[in-house]
Amino acid sequence: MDRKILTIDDSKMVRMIVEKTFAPYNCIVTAASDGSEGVEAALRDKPDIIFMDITMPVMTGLEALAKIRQTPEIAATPVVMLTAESDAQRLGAADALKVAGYISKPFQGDQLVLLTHKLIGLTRKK
Amino acid sequence: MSDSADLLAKFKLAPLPENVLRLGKLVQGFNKHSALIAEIILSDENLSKRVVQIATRGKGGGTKEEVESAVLRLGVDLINMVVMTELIVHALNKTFTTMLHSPLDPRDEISVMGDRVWGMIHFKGSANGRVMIGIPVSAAEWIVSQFLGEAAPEDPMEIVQDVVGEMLNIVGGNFKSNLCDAGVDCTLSVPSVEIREFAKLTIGDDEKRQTLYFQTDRLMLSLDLLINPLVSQK
Repeated sequence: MDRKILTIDDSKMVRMIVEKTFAPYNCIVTAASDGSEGVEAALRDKPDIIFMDITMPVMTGLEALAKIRQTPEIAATPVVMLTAESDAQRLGAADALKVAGYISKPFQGDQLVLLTHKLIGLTRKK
Repeated sequence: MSDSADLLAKFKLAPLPENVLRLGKLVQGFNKHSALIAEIILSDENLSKRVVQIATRGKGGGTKEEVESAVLRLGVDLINMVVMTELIVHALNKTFTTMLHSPLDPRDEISVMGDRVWGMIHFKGSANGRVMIGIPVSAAEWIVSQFLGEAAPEDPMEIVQDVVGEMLNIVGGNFKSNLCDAGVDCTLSVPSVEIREFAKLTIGDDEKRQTLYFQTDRLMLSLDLLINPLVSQK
């Protein structure tokens, strides 16, 4: 069964890298460009996993994560922060909101695949 | 809340080099700690050379006496610039090595013709300043192809500004996180990016500027760090 992956990042480049990274696997990648759009997309698509940036316009990643955790339909979705900001304050805030992982930019596609496989399982396209 | 080291270990994130971290913390209390700053600088060969080179305009080496004398002579703002430069170069190198598998080689100067993509990001708080990078358009197009491969748009110019902006975000985010962990809190602006031949840059009266040049086998780039005096030192 196809896994549903949601990438929430204001950088088109990062959204495209995530899509490219998961292209060889049985999954559907959808994208949103800020936290607010991301929460809407999560409610609509019910993804199996979310990759989320922190610094974004309209609604930051940490605000969006808090919103997700307060919304019963999507509260249990594994969320992985994908961000360049990994100071103790951000790490602590994300940890308190029960993130499933924290990948520090710069990153490599393999890191996303490994963590996704560990959290929700992935299969390669035949 | 767990402490920083526990969280870094939990999420398998690499810590900042110890010397740079300690130095960042000590710069906050420069007047009380100048002897300690000299000691930490001495424990890092590159930092020692850089500090002495700046203090002696390239003539000194890196002996204990030279470093101690350089720290006192340069004062807090220039030492601060050296530390900030170390942090930003660390972040830039990490970005290029991880995402482009392309280590940066420092150069005294570079020769670039034509338009460049200029990206700038501001940091504000206990530390205030700007970071600007300039990358030739052709090099930025190559970066797009490396990041996106076959997924790159037919005309890479469609995404060149986004890519340089995100690279600056990554470099700036790492730099800012390192400053925060060193006890210097600040926030980052959204990067601004434009394409033109020369950078449009007005330098403030209080700002100190350091320009660095780098080259890889595929590209050249410049990095400008402009910093204001530390808030606590004003």
